[in-house]
Amino acid sequence: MRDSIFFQLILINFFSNFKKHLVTILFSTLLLFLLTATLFISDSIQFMLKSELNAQSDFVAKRVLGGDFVPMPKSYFEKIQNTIGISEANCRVIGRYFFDKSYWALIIGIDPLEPQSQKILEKILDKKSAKALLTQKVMLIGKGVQEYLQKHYFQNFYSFFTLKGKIIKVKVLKMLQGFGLNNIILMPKNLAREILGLLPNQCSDVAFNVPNKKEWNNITNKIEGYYFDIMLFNKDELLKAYSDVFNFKGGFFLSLYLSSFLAFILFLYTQYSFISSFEKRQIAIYRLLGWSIKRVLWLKLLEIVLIIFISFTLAFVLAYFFVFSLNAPILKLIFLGSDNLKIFSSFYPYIDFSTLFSIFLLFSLGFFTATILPLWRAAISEAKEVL
Amino acid sequence: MNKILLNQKVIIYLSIETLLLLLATIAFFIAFKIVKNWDINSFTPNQFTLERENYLFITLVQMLLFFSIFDTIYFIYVIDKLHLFIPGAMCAAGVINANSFGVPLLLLKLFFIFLLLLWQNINILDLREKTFPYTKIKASFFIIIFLALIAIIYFDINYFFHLKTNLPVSCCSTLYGQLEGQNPLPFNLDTKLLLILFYLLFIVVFGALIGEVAFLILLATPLFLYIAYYSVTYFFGTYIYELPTHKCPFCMFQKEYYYIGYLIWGSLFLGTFFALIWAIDALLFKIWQKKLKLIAQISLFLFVIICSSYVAFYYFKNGVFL
Amino acid sequence: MIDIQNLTKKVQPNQTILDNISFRVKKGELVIVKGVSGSGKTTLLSILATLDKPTSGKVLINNQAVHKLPDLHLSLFRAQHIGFVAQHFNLIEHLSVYDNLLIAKGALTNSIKEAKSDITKALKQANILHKKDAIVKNLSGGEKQRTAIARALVNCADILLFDEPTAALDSKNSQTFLELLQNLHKMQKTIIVATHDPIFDTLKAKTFIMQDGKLYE
Ligand SMILES: Nc1ncnc2c1ncn2[C@@H]1O[C@H](COP(=O)(O)OP(=O)(O)O)[C@@H](O)[C@H]1O
Ligand SMILES: [Mg+2]
Repeated sequence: MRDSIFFQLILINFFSNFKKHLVTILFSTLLLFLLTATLFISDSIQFMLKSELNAQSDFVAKRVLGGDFVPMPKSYFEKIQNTIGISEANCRVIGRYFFDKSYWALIIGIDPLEPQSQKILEKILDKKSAKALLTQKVMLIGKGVQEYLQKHYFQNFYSFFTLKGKIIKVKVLKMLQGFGLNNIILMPKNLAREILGLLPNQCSDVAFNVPNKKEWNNITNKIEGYYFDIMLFNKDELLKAYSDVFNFKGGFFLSLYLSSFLAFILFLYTQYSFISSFEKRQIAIYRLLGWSIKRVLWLKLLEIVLIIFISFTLAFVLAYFFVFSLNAPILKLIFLGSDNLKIFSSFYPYIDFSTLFSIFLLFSLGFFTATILPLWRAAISEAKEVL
Repeated sequence: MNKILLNQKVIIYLSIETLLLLLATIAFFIAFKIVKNWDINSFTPNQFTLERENYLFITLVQMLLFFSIFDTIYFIYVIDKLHLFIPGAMCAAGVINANSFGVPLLLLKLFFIFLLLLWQNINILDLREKTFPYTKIKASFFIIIFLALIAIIYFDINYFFHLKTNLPVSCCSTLYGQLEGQNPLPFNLDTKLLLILFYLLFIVVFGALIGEVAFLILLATPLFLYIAYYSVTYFFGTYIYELPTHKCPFCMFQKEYYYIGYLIWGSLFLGTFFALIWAIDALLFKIWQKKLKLIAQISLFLFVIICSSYVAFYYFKNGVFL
Repeated sequence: MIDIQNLTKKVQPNQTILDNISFRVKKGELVIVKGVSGSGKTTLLSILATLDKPTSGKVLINNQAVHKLPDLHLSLFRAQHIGFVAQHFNLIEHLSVYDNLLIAKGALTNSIKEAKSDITKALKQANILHKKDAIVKNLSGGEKQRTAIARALVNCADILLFDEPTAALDSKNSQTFLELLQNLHKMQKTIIVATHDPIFDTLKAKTFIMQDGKLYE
């Protein structure tokens, strides 16, 4: 690179026409920045959803009555548990607790002695909290819950109302950290049953894993055959549904960007169609010295490559900083809508390089398409005209 | 509105295709002018303008070639990723077979690259000479290439517009699997014969390249490509997946297999394309290009080595064949 | 060797700038083309420099018919064989002397290492090495001319074309130029000078007279 005359001349020409290029770089960086930032957000969200789903159990079996989900008797759970091919089946106690009309949290009952089908719970349960959960009336709460408690002047405890009008005071043991745990309360299973109003021989639903993926179809058929009021949901279905939503949303934004991209191509075309006499004279001198049209055209195209690289690098760095350090103010609101904001407190720095590459491909192709005609017109400047 | 058309990757792909069409259209107009008005013996300003436009034409087609290669790779990547949205699809195989436009589209795209490579080869030969010997041929040839691109766009639109997210498709095991008593291999070959043919044809093509027997290359290379396709899909693939029942040309593009599909199919097509172009040069233009031959040899060799080593490694690791 | 046969250049069907010119220049020869302003000297030189094409006739340089070469080959030929010092020098003013020569080298090679020694050599030959890093804008007329000469020499061209070389120089600088010209002549370069300056009468050289697009010996 350092020994290349071509490279040297590209730099020289770049700085000779700096003013013209600067405008281009500003515009293209802005456009690319918005695009890359949006992609970072959507890729990051998809990644977080995916990894959260991966930490979930493979299947959840729910009982349906009157078109809604209802608690199921423990006998269902025992039958499922004893099916061959199933592991870590769990009679879950899980449900929403309404602190008031506008705020609820998800109570998850947990028994540290049982195997956990949700890997994320295994991670949370250290020895100390496991011991406390076994012996005391304690809970682990997410950040959102803690904020609610503080706002209502509860220090380290909360008094739950059961459905039977009883008041149960539960101590806060620990804060939960991590994505998706914002509005979650973990507490001993029996305590959860009492607060949520479940009978001792009832589960909210049954979660379980099927390690051999090839058996998924089989097991689904089998269990749905046991009871007619049971419905099975697997991880992949959830993943598909989530991906659908965000791809759709991303596609919508992309379409918007593409229209501005079209405007950008037109801008580039006019920008480079105007060839100053200064530039024309320079190229004529190149031609005078034995540079062929082809060689001049390539030199000019490589100048464009330099501009593309500069814009892309700038946009990439800016977008990375904007999304993962500043947490994408404004753009986040537009992209997610205020409803979903609560869930995504910060973005996990995950980058999908294939999307980045595809943007690069599209962008550089657009750049070349817009500039090739003007550049060629410049490259055929006649040397005899400057004599 | 078809949901697939709002997929980010599909939008980007179709935009790239549109831009390529735009580039090709400009090139087409110049090619048309050259075919109609090119007269090397004329000293008119018209001819001088045409000679200058010729360089724009060349650059446009070169760009088309460069971006078409990436575009085709990207296309395979997109259909591979789309399997998430098509019920029943496990990899690109189900997606590309989801309607009758997919397979012709992919084949056309590969053929398009071959045509462009051939064009670029003629271009190099043309620029070497001082009399523009092939400029008119080049321009006429491009008109055919342009028609091929129109066909690609036609299939593109039809393929993606008819890709349904609610219609279940078959996955690769049904598409490529052996139905009872049915032999998917051509000429009623069994696996043993297929492999013998595979290595035999490779030796013939490779030997013909070394011995520079153009005529033989022209005959044997397409046959090798054909047999290689079946060998990879029905034999070598099973070693890549380490599953005797998994027969699919597409799954190897996935991350689980370290994207090896891009290398395997890439080296096969590169090798056969360059061998063919070398032979066409030798027969038609009486020009023997060392570089082309070398690239063809290296790619084909690489292809066979990669395929064979999957089998060898499996044998070393497990002590048995599948 | 330059061999021109029946060269005619018309800009419009009725406006003839060069009218049926034929002549030969042998290798290493020094040729002066004299003529008043507007007689067609610059047009003739630009055709010899392969920058312009004739309307009819043949232009053979070093046995190569350059009037009908593709631009790719023509440009290569120009870079290898022809050094052209135009009337207004045609330097890129905001760049350094060195960079101007680098552009000329860039027509043939891509290696700076390779170019460097040639550039130094050419600058020495044209006696301008001390201004290597100066910006062209800040040079005097004489220095600019020597930069242009160095640039013409940098690719070891065997044919040097000068258009009105003394038009922008005072008499002292003109004299220096004549000495430089004779040095180049000694280096066996084929040299053609187009001028209307009588100072060249003192030189021992083959002389043509140009008048209304016609050439007389
Ligand atoms: N492109 C052109 N179009 C019209 N007239 C031209 C063109 N180039 C040169 N001429 C005319 O041709 C004549 C010769 O010009 P030139 O070769 O520059 O003469 P000189 O260099 O001897 O002064 C002039 O009358 C000039 O006006
Ligand atoms: Mg003049």
